[in-house]
Amino acid sequence: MGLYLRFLPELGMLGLALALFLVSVTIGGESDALDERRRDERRRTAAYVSDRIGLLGSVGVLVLAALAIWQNGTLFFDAYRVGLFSQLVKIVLAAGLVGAMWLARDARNIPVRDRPEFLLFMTLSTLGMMMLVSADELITFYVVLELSAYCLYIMVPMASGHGSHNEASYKYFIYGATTSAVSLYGMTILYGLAGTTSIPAIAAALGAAPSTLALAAVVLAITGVLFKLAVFPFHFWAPDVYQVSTHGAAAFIAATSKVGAVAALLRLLLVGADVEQLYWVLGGLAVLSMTFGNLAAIAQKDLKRLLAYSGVAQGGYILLGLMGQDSAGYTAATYYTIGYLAMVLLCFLVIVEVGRTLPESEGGRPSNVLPISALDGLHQRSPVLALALLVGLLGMAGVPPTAGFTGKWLLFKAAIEVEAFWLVLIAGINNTIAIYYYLIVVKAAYVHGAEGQPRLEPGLMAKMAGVGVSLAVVFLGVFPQWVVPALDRAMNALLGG
Amino acid sequence: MSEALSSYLLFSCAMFAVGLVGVLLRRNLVAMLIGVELMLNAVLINLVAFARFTDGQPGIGQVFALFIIGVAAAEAAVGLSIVLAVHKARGAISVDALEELKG
Repeated sequence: MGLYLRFLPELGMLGLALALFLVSVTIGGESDALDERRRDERRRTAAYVSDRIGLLGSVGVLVLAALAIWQNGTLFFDAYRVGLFSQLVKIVLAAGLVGAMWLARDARNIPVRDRPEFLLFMTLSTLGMMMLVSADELITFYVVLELSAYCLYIMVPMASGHGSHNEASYKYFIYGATTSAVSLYGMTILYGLAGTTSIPAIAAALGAAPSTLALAAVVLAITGVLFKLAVFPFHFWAPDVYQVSTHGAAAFIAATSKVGAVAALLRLLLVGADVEQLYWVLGGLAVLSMTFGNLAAIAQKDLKRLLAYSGVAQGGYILLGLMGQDSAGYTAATYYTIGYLAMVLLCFLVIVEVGRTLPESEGGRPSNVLPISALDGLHQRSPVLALALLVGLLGMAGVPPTAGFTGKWLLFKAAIEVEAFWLVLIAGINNTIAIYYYLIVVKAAYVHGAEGQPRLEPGLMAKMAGVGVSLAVVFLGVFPQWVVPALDRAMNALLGG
Repeated sequence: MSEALSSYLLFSCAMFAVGLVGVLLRRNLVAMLIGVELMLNAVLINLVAFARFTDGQPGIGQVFALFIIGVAAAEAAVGLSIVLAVHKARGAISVDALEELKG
């Protein structure tokens, strides 16, 4: 029984994936016996049913993940470790899945025929991330990393349009496959050095005999996860993928998959717990990533592209917390990631709602692109959405009293404690640059007039979600003591083995 | 480190480099995919050589290799289907067909 309890959230995800799969092959299945009209009708039914199953099922998984929070121990011959850290991250991932499912519901630019499969891949990808945070063994880690990644590659081209999403998808895929091959190469060297693929055993072996080769192996091994986090220089896919994929897919990649990437990085960095030079590597990547991301974001005219580059910069801030490899830094990084998830979901809520009003282009098919000018006069057209956008952007810019401010404060404090004062100074300068481009978007929404813009009528649920998540971002920022002690305990348990 | 092991490692390192250069320099989408496959095969040789010549947990290297072979098959399927989609949309499978997104 204990085994099932420990595996409860994953079992829930598997059940949800199975349900979506059954919908896609039964109701949505192709049948030659039907005429065109009936077939269309059945596809519509399948899309409707899978939307509802996906949303309700992901809420169910959230409940299961909350039920399984106090589970502890290992599964599958020590390949899979369940603890407070993994269970907390699983709750956050489930919440991220609920958000992404809700944003993707009734998406008009995902073809009706593909909808059940789209949601199936979203579920499977989240399942992969959930298993990633528990993987205590390199083989498990690799297999579930690819499970979560391949589903993302397939979600990107699932959009109606003229084909530029195929281009983005191929770039995403080829960068992902290359970095995962590089990271596998690093893993084989780790295996050669330690003679085992168990993460704690490798950490012990590397600690006993530190060497340049060990450092190189760890750096190579983490590239696959750095790619998922879109840290410079592994970010090239991010702007293209965000810009042309459907809003639902982009929200999932920008929000939920980032949580998975950070948690997986924390887990994988355990192999290098005693490799001191990692400090310099992670610090260098942090500086490069935040500087490049912020400078590139300034020039963007497309909101999703801007969010992609800002995501590169945010990845840099998160790396600041990881460089010391201590529990304070890990806590700060996880706290910031949770806040970031909520802020990105807020921005995408606005993107989805505004995207519904944009004129259909590209041969009668909806466009996935969202220029910043489409937000003009948002405060007159829908004050609630404008507020949600404001909270999301100011949170990312690190303005109090949002979670973004508290998170950055914790990150900078953790970095100063490991004597990275100069990096914190650079991060501070970067943050000032970042405020500039976030304010450009805020200006479009609050200062520009609404003349000539289509009417915006968000539903009651959208308004409630906007207000609710905004309150959560502020609440998390004002009362960090509600979350941070739990994270602290989780990180101490994680680092203690 | 024995003589035999280092020669295997040198070979796999060279093969990995060939694959990486292939991904970075080739203009054909399928050829880039072949580059990735070469990199993965270099990884396999590494694993099997380590499993044969070092005394760690027995069998784990070969098992890892089998898993990678399985995942690589899935990777080829996903990659080729995307290439097919590109070909349907653009009528070409060269990188030059993919230069719409910039900035």
